[in-house]
Amino acid sequence: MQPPDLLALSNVTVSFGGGIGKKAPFVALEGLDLAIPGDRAEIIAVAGESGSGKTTLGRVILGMTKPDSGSVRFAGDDIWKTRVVHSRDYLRNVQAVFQDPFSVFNPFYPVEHLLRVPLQKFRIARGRAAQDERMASALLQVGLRPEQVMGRYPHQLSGGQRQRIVVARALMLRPKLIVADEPVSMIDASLRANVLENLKALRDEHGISILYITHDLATARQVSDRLYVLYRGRAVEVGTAADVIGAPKHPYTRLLMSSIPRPDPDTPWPAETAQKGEIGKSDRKACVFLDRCPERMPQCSVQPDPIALENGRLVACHLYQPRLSSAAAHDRRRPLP
Amino acid sequence: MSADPVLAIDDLSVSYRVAGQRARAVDGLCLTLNAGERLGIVGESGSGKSTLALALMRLHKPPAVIDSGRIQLGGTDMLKLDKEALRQFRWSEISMIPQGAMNALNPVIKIRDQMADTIRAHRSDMSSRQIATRIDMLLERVGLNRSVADLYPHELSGGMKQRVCIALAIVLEPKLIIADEPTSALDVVVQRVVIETLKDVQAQIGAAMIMIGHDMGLMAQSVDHLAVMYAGRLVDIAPIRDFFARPLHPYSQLLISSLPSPDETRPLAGIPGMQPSLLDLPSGCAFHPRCPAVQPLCRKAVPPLLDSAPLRKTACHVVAEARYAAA
Repeated sequence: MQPPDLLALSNVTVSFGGGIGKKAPFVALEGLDLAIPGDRAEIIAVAGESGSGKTTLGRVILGMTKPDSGSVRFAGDDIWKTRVVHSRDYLRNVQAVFQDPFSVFNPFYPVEHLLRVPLQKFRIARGRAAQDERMASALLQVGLRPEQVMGRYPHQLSGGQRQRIVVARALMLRPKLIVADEPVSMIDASLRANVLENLKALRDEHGISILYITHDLATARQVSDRLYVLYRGRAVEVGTAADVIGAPKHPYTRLLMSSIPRPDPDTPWPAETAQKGEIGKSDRKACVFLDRCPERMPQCSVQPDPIALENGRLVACHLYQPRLSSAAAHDRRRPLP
Repeated sequence: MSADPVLAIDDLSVSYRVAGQRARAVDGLCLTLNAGERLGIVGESGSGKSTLALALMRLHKPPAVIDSGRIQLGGTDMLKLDKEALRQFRWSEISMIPQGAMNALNPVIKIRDQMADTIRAHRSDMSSRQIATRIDMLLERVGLNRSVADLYPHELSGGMKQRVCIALAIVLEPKLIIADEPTSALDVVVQRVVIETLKDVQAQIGAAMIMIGHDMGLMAQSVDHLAVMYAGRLVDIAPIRDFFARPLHPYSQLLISSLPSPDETRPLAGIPGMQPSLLDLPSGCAFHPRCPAVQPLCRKAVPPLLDSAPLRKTACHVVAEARYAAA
């Protein structure tokens, strides 16, 4: 029998605000399905722009945000229907590496204390010597010198150093899942590779799955097995990282790929295809990408369901309706009135 | 054509005095920049690039001290200006787009008033009406609707705030714009819009620009020349195409090979070792403990920044030797 998924989100919707007499609620996630297998460790990348819901997704998985509807199951148990979400076991097994390394530490404690407390609370290493060893090895693994950082306070460290301490902290606890929200966005290119290699080593050597939340598709391609592209709370494209990034299908994924600045002065950004506008404001009954999409068609006024393609790929776009071959789709494409 | 550069930095050194020790964050840096040129400066955190940016504005704060050197901007020696002259000089001649524009705007003041304040502080001769017209024009220049002027910063998205910061930076049409990681918190789609806006307005007013960052891809798309800093020193400077086609300094080569590519999967290459502490620099070339091409000389002598190819300078014994052998 196949083991249950380590974590399974089913039809999760989260919205903020709203209520009688107030503005319409802001939908952060809508009808999201996501599964992290229980039998093997995977790195699952979640990509999208700011406001796409990727951080909310991380918070839902960490049990910090309760979905309005849908379920979150950890090893088969619904974490909100049982008390799993409050258990020490869940807290230890699902660890976080957050985006902003400036606000995650208590400024009154030195690094040593910040690292030692979780070791004590989760009863991972007993005795100072064992704890010291564990802390030192975790710090070395992320490229920090223990003797240099242990006695320092958070304000004495750079953003990159703090971020690596957060990664080291997660590393020490050997959880089953790490939610890493933009873990390398504040780290230099030379160290970024090391931190990402650390994430891969966590998967390959320690069997830890990672939800890698990022807006950087280049690193997502290098480290992740599967990729979810979110836009305004919906998963618009899902598949293996190689498929989705190598040959993006959804117009939004294509826009993302073409916006990446290539490290080659002779490969400039291609001509802009998307409509202007920052975050789309179109009606949520329509396709969420409608107002920025260069490929819009009349049927786009209805939200497309995810369409299953080969190799477990899902694309939520009317262009890929089976009855509409791509050539036909091209002919019928016409601007909305 | 005037041959006078807009910016000439000569032997600039800035250090932080901490606990009786001196950490040289910028060490003997020389640079020149012509009008309309865009120079990128890359380096790891702690390599001195942000300290350089602050020192150029003379906005560095203790314990940072400028030890020596000259900063000439449009013929004025910035280090000789007194407080009031400096206040006038800043922003009208040299302006800055700070890192994290999210936090650079005052949250309780409308965009219009923040922009008007800046103009009034420098141009007491302008009427309110002229100021209002100017604000409208500036917002349009950076691709924002005029109505943005009457909003508070929290009502704007990150990309819009960053464009407001660009508008603020060009309020007085300075000769030099310093952009310190202008898009570090933005996603790629917005980043492109912001960078293109920045390049547009910079070209329109003919200012020189220094862009600080660590995203090599972004540099390739944004600047004409790229300079690399390592442990406070300028180690490599080259026209952008030459830099990517044939990086000379071993550190530059590693920086390029450590770039993750969205177009293919390949093993991620980092740069081995760690950036040295500024309080305890290695002997000779500061990069030698991490350098794959290290020679005995590198451990003894600090390599000077020498011409290494047309329009290029590199501070590396190995590069200098190869050039000497070829000549």
